[in-house]
Amino acid sequence: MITSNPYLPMETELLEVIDETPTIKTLVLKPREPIPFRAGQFMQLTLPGVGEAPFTPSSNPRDADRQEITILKTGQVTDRLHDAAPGDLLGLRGPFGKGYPLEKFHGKEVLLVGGGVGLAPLRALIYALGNEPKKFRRVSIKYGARRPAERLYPGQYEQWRGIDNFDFTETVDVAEDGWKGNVGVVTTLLPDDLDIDRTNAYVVSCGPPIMLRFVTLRCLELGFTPAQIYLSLNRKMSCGFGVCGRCNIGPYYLCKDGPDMCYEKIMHYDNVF
Amino acid sequence: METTIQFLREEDLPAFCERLGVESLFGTVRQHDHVAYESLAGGQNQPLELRGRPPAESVKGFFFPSKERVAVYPAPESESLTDKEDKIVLIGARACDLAALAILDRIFIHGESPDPFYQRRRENSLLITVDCNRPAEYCFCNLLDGKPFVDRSFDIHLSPVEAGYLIAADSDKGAAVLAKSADLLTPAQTVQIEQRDRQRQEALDTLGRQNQEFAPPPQAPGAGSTPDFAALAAEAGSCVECGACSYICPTCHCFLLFDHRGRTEPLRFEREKTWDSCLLANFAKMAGVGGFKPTPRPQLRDRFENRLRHKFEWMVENLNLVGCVGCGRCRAACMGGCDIRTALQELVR
Ligand SMILES: Cc1cc2nc3c(=O)[nH]c(=O)nc-3n(C[C@H](O)[C@H](O)[C@H](O)COP(=O)(O)OP(=O)(O)OC[C@H]3O[C@@H](n4cnc5c(N)ncnc54)[C@H](O)[C@@H]3O)c2cc1C
Ligand code: SF4
Ligand code: SF4
Ligand code: FES
Repeated sequence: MITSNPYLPMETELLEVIDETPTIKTLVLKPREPIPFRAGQFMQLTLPGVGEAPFTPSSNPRDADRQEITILKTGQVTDRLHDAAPGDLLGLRGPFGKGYPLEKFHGKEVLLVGGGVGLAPLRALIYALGNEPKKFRRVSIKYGARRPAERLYPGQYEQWRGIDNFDFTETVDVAEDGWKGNVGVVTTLLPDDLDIDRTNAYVVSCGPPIMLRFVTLRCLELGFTPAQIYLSLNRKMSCGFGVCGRCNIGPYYLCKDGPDMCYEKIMHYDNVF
Repeated sequence: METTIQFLREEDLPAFCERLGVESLFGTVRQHDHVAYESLAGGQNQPLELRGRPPAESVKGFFFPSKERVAVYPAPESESLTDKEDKIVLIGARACDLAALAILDRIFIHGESPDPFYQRRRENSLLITVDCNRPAEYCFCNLLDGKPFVDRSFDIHLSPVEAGYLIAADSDKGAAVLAKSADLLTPAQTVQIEQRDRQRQEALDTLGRQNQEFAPPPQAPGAGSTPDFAALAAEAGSCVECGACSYICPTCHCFLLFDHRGRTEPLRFEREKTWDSCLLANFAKMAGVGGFKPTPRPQLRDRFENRLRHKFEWMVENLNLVGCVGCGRCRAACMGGCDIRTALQELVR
């Protein structure tokens, strides 16, 4: 019995392009049929004839009709995606991967640590947590951008702070334009006296590999165990379902078993970050 | 399934092939110093070579081609890439080919997202295997639970004997094919079966002799074990990163999806699936800022280790099977003279 073709993307219309920062845009997409996804699951986005690249939707997983994908311009496919205009035909495959283990977070404190465009996948998680905030004891969001102009989704920070058991703190690496907030890398938002119940919390982090490394080390110093730390690691991907061999860390395929991995599972393998 | 062993005379082999009645009929023939699959369709064919060394290539490419179009987008209404039915029969495959296909079936058919192209070809295929009476000097199937002959789960199997072949079917498809040639077959004689068994034992003895210095690879050492990197790097030291070992390997299945504008219809794009090799430096390179593309396996020895551990450790963990059938083709193909048997011993020591 022949099933569907896993290599063929679903026709998807680009509805709107939102300029986020000088190098980041959000594409609002409407697939021909709704694509339900869990926060943290990712899509393969096709720009016809140019190529395909993996992205984690940044929109509310409750909304399957439309998907928002936030894209940093950084190479062949993403450069051209930044030139796309409303009405263009794109393609989507997915969703792939497991997504964040939300059920595990029930009744716990959740510490989200994001860097740069890494806030995009985390935004889907923030929406998911915000959809049922009572299920989580507390949600604490720490975000670092390189400079003030590169802060992603600044219009939403107040809204997140406004949710009962949510808090949001941010920092920039380099202060500019009369910036009055915190200055320093994101780990400076994780001081020794960090107000969080370490025995009853999970950490979720997404950002550049070097940041993930320092966040992990810092969290271990603070007394979190490897089993409490979830990381969105970057690997090159092609198929999306664990067959093309591209994205493994040891026996795990990030496309299938991740892309967010519990640090405890992967810590023994080489070159994790 | 009850398998009856019959005898097919050498001179009746062409008639037997004729009656298979398929256009895509390939068999092993001699080409200069090696044995290769050639199309046997239509008229003047070279004689089949079923008694010599194993074929240089495995059957992988018949089911998982080195390059194939897997999507046209936007998908044309009329055409479906997977509807085509092309029956294919292969003569001359070995036990290691069947073992390797069982592995590829797990990956491409029984995984989470079956590959409809591979699946269609496998469903439409019939394999006529043959005893491997003259193992090559690099063969080591015996170290991996393999045997140079097939005694179960085959379509049709041939054992070369004096003046012809013992022939048996072990699948419904195979039995149907034999029924069409019933008049060419006679019951096997005891002496013929004795000859087959003697030859099989000789092949086993050859394999035992040529691999006696290598121990069978132990099963999964488990995550976190520390292989002997220095020795492994020494083995990787002669690798010139050509990727040949992966391409020639009957179980290696890494691939890349690559898009381009349609050649015939520029408004549609085409997606191709091509063989790839995890040994190549670019294989896992990621996007990066300022042209710097990081890779999780920057050193050749990391990639060399990844290939071996995938086959011998992680496939065992994930699928409960070893990802190598001991065909030795990677050894035969390697310009640097890397021998997977040596590397393995270092890896698992
Ligand atoms: C799970 C996951 C989630 C991610 N989520 C996000 C996110 O939310 N936001 C974000 O900004 N980034 C995200 N990324 C990173 C993003 O995928 C990369 O930045 C992106 O792949 C870079 O592609 P590029 O072509 O611009 O870069 P390049 O460095 O130019 O990479 C080239 C790659 O593009 C693809 N490609 C190029 N040409 C072709 C072709 N002809 N056919 C097919 N493919 C081709 C290939 O994959 C190739 O490796 C994510 C990555 C992963 C693994
Ligand atoms: S790894 Fe080498 S010996 Fe093993 S199946 Fe592949 S080509 Fe054959
Ligand atoms: S065939 Fe030999 S030289 Fe080529 S990539 Fe494989 S190990 Fe390296
Ligand atoms: S993307 Fe192909 S195995 Fe993960």
